[in-house]
Amino acid sequence: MSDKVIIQKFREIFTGPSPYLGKLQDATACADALACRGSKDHLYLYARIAEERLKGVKFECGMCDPEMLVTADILCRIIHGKRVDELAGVDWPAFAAALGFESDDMKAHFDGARKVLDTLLERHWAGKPCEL
Amino acid sequence: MDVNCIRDDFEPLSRERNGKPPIYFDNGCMTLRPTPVIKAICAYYTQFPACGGAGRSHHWFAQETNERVEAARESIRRFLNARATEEILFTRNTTEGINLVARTFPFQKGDVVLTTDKEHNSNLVPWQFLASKVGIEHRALAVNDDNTFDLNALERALRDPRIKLAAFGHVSNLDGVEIPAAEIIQMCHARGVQVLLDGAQSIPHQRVDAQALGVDYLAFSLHKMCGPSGVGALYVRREHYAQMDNFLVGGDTIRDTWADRPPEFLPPPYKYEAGLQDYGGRIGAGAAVEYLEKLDMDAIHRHEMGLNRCLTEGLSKYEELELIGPADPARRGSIVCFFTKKPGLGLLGDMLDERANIMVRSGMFCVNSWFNARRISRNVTAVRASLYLYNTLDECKTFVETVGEILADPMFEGLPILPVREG
Repeated sequence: MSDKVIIQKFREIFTGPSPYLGKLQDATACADALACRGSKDHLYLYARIAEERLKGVKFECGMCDPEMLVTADILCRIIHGKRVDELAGVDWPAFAAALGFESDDMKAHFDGARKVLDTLLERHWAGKPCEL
Repeated sequence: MDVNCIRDDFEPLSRERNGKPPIYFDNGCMTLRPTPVIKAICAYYTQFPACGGAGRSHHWFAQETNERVEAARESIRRFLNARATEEILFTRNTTEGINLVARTFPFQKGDVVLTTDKEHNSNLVPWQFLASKVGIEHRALAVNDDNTFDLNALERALRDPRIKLAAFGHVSNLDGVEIPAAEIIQMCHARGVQVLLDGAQSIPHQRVDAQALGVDYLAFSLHKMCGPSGVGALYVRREHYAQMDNFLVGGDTIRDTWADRPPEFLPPPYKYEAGLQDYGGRIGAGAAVEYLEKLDMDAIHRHEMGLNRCLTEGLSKYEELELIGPADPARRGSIVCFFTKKPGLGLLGDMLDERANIMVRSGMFCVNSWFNARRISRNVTAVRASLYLYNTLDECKTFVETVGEILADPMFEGLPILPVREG
């Protein structure tokens, strides 16, 4: 069941296409990392933060499995438009609610993506420009 | 060259998973090892596992170790047609060989090192590091649009008298393209510029004659040519030793030391091989080049070109894939590298492994700078199949068929073809 949902959501990212897929050209902060231990999922997150609000957010994913792509897409959807101080509330229960089901595999993907988001915020607070 | 007979020497090829044999197409990273190499390494550990080196033990086992290590050095000399055995330094890998040249070359502040813009990180980062530490300048020549070497650009670049060293990958690990090394070396020498070749992807696959080329430094890795992991070699034209500084120093590099005056170093190659070494690995390295010598490097090269042609023709029919490098397989040696342009095909490597035990490499192959300079989209993935002497046409056909099956998976149906380059 969950596999079918993931494949469907994965396909929708590209057939839509998702507004969150791609590079954000005017990003003010960004971060990238191998999102999951032992995997090749290389997640790039871009955000345009103005007045401490995420006015724009996008992602790219190199060598990512469908689960990672879906995770990144949902995460972007959740955080888009939020204030920076609201992002602490973007946790696994909130993500699982948006996803529609729970699984250990998806939680691992969420945890990886969440770390990339945390890095992005640290870089934003440190005033580091986006150089990706 | 009887490939079926050769395959019997490589035990991993007889394994099975899910009723299927392995198809090992990751030879650009590391090759499998034949039984004679395994036996040579084992002989060291089971028969005479002692210290080697000039200043260490001199007993029975130690003498045997030294004899076998020096025989391996001589085998490598013969393999490269170097003039003298002392021109062969053992290293851990190509990277260490290049670093050795970078750290020992008599650079002055303002000197320029020339590379292409398609180098493995091992032939890029050492020069960038040196630029930040001692004030040399690293300059990268752009390759042509089809990734081949631009001799005109070299000619123009060489007008700058500050260029002291040109360091080029002989054959690219990204696309298998060979540079015209003999011509390049001639042009560089005419301007008094020395040449270092990264031979990691050339020496395992074709005859490379150090004397005929006239190359000054030639670094390579034995683990890419049937030898053990973590053993490399560096050829240094012996007249250059006089200008070279020390690299790592300490035990085994010296003839004598005193507490109150500088040490007296051994002559090359020993002054560049500090500390207790991987003697078993070196002995295995000797066995590896002896194994290749018996097979004939020209025959290996021809065999790989045939395999490359099969893969290239088979993959060219898929619009979801885009070949990297020249279209002609004869110009890409043992490497077939391509972009996967459909979403989700970043996992093609994993899928090939799961479905048919086909082992390839995905990613940027340590040539990140090439990908970044060309603004390659992060949503497409490059996959590399790198071939070697034990691979077969049947394996290539299975590879092409399996790629086709994956591309036809309903999961990818109707998904768009993504652009390879941003913007």
